[in-house]
Amino acid sequence: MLAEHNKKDQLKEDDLATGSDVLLETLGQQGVELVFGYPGGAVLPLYDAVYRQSFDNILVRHEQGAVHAAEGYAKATGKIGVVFVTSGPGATNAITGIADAMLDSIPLVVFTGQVGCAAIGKDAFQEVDILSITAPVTKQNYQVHDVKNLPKVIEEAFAVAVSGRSGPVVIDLPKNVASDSTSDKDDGKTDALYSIQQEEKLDEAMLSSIHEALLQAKKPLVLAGGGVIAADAVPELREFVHEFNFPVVSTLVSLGVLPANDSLFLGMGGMHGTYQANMAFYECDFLLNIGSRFDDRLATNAAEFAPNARIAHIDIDESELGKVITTEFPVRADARKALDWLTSNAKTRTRQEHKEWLQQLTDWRQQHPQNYETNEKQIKPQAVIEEVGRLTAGDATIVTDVGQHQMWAAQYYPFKRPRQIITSGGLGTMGFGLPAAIGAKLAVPEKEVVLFVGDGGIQMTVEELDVIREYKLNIKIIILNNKALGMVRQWQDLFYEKRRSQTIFSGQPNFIKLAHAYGIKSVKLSPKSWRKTLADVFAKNESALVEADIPELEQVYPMIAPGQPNQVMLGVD
Amino acid sequence: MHEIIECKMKNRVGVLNRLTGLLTRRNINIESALIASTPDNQLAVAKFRIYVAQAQEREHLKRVIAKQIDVLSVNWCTDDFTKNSGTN
Repeated sequence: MLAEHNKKDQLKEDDLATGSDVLLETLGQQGVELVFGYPGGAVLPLYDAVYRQSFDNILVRHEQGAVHAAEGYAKATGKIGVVFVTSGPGATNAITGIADAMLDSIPLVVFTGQVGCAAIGKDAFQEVDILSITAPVTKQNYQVHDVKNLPKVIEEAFAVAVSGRSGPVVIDLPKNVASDSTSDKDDGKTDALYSIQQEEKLDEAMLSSIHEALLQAKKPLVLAGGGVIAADAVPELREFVHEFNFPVVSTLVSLGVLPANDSLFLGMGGMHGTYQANMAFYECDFLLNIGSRFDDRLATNAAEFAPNARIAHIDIDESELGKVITTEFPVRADARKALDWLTSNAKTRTRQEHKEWLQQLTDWRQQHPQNYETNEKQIKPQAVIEEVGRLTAGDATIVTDVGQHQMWAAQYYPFKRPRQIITSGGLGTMGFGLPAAIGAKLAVPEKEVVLFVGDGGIQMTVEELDVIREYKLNIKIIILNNKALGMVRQWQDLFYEKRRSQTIFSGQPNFIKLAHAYGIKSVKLSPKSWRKTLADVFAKNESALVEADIPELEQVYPMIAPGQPNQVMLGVD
Repeated sequence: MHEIIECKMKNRVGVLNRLTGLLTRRNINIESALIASTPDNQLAVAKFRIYVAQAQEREHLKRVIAKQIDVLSVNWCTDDFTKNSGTN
């Protein structure tokens, strides 16, 4: 479906290329295949160039959807997601997605339209100061005042988005710059100052200390975070932990870093993590954190986290070192380079068995397995996710929204590869799922894409169903409907004496008919035959919306109450 | 304690906004500031006198400022403008 970009012959020879033409040309040079966007007044020149050059723009139905879709695209591939939105409300609608990308370190370049340079600061129609608004939620932002600077600024933005710790970059494009002729294009001297900080040399002395300490450890543990995925270091991590027999805990966003069935994999740690993962944090005597930022949903009580361990922390972002947890061995490094070093510079290849420690972890797993009560009269959300795991052989790209279903998906889907879970980890953005699934499908169409979403979250970005219809995307949308904002209700039940303030929906749209209105096939699962219905849905190569009414008061367990240390879990048998 | 943090950065529109935003977010008041550009206008140096309660916060603040794309270096100075020996 991707059009060829190089259609400049469509321009009459005597046409002068505009800033917008240069912009698209530069995107092509950066390897951009498609953008997610929504037109408007300030980006009329840009969209005129999109039209003339037949550039691939995925027309979303709301700017928030454009950014989440670009995030899904970037998360699924590691490439930079690109967004076009107009000025004013177009740009402010994009903020949630930009903030989401900032917290989850997702590389994006977002072009916001702006009123013409002469009108800036005069409260012009659809003018906002988007540079000030986006400053705290971007790695960097730019406003281009001269068309001759445009290529250099775009090049710098693309370099910044993926240098070091990835993140979003905004380029604000005044309308006159987008339409200016480029006849006097780039004289070679631009105002853009191009200097990405070079990566520092590996701290080999510290890595060596880590290695020594690891070999002495009786109860070593590796925490592998999103940084391992972002650095494409999963093969290196797997080689490292198998070489030395180190058990591994993942975070939410790094699920798939080891296959779910790997004997060294303890599952996700943190607030809704597995029993053995959280107990391992408590008991381990050496913790090697690679690429996780000790988020408060993981280290639920920083002061009491891993109280018996010496802690090493490898992160590409120096400001993460010592931010939450004081570490004895801090290393600023790319995860892949550090892992390569740790594996290849091993002074001994004697495989440490850690027999007692691994047996302890196995015992915990067997004594307190992740489970739920089954009930044939009801459709349990955990069972739906397990069934989808079977139907997709654990290989689907799993996209989630935010809430209880997100945690159940993390707990019960058998992830086995990196970039397989696409979820809003840091910002916890309801409404993320549906547009992110669109981006993930467009990025890697050969993979089955399954969206698990709640009845609350789907209503936040439901308009993007129209994009699925328009582009005929095969996405399986599974609404786990408890007629409530389930996770908030769970907290109210546990910590606010069941005062369910504003979390129970008194009425809902008919999701089956809603899907129909968008031209998407839909089916409601019945407790008696839901497995067969689900199998039929997955047998077809077309999108479908599946609604499952789940028990309204189902809780996510295990759960660590906020502020409690990891070993204090609720809902463990 | 009251201290002075010195940032050398590219002299471009908005860079100060980013820096002060990092302080605002952490509820740190700027008690005095001194900002000047280099003669060629390419770089600027800013000194802020601020109060930071904890040592851990101090180091973290330095690092989040240092990772801004336009910031070239960050140093803590003493809280005396007459002494300019940059230390880490």
